[in-house]
Amino acid sequence: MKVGLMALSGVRVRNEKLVKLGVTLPQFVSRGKVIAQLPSLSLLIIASVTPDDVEVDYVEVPDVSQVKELNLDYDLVAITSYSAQIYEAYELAGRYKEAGIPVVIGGTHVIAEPEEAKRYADSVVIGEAEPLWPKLIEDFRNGSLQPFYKEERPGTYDLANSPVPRYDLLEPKNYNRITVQTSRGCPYDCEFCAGSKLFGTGFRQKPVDLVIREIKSIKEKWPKPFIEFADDNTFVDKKWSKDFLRALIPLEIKWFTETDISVADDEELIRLIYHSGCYQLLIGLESTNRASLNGIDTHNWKLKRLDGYLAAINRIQSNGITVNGCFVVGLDGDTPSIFREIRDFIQKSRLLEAQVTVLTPYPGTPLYKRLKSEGRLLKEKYWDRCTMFDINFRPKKMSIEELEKGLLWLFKEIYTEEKYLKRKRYYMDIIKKLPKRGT
Amino acid sequence: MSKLEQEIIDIIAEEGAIDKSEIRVDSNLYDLGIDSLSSLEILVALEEKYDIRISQNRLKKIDNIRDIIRVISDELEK
Repeated sequence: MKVGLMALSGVRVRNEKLVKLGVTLPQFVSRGKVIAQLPSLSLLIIASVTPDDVEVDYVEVPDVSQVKELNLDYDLVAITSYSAQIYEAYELAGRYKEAGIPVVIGGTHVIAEPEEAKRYADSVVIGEAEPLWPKLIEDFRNGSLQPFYKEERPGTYDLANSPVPRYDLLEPKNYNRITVQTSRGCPYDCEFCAGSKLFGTGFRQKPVDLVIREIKSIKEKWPKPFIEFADDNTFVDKKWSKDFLRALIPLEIKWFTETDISVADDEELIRLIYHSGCYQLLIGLESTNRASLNGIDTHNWKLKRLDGYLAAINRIQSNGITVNGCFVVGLDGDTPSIFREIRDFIQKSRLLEAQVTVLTPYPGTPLYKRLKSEGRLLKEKYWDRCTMFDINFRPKKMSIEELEKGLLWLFKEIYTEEKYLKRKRYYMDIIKKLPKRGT
Repeated sequence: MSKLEQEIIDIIAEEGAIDKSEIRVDSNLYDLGIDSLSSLEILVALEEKYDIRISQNRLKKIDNIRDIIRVISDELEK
């Protein structure tokens, strides 16, 4: 038996003005390229829980329209996709079904929209692969594939039981960065977050020795890898974090991850992050405006942190770790002045990199439900616009045109080479003064 | 290849964790797996090695190995 594991890969942007502008902005292109080249960790996990006597093929599909001839050498095809590419995933599923090959579909989008996905696939996986996939394969072999496979109690699968993903399936030269997951979930409940609550509401972390084992398995193929930790928020548990970072130092890797601003509170943690090889932390700052941050998360955790943002960024960056600050525009508190405010903050904070995206009502999120109930969605199923750069809702305190124009203006302001090089030079001078990593 | 070019390539290989045999003077940095973050650390290592400081303006348009060699050579000639 042979299974084709397929991921719709790459970054999508529909707004033509942004596409045209984007290709001329080096920093914007650079991060897009990195994201586009990351392997699909979910497929590697699925492969790892597939019985040994089942052959698997790992396939990335950057553009379905370019797939002229299907590989029909499969008994079963499994497809995963984000919302932005879901129509392409459905098209691919349709082509395989037409060719007589059964199709299973999973991923973040179909967890939120399983009935929709079922119209295009024989079976839909609603939840994590580890507890569901082995049963699905068993049923398929017995000729009793079910229409849905759903976790009974989402968020309770013990990550200590996670197998090491099948990194051996990847061709080393095709990947500059390799993804590793240390945790699932995030304790903060940002209204727009489409990732952290999909597999249940809790925060779960793998034991340190399991993550180290995964990295060692990567090092067998990539002796000096650049690891991108595919977490929603890596350093929630500070005790775990320090144990993990100490174990990471001897492995001499370079790495990147996503976390929250609270890492700046702990000098020891920051030093360990630097010495264990961290090149960058991506931190969701979300906004520089009080009204915009108000209500983003239930406890207004980010709003309470706002006054400390500048000092915290300075503390992290002056310890040799660059910060990629993430901002969302189009929040309910945003007026047309938000673009200038964010531009000024980026300059003042000297963030090496910044990621500005448009508020995006992903299916299944509280934001989607609220905007739908307020009649503010431009279309109910505007999934191909869930790119984080395309607008699919009516902003509260500005027009759609103002949001679009403001976004383009902000991109030109922050992503130009001159401004980036100024921040780059500033950061180069910082790391020259620091001891070498690992010492 | 000059001694300087060889030295620079050695540092790029070491800092960028790249097999030296894959590096050619016309190799594009991104194709070698060197993204903006890695290039920044490589440039710092080169500055430390040669005790130079590349001006902000000279950091522009460093796309391939030849660009790095040129920038370092120019700084050393100053």
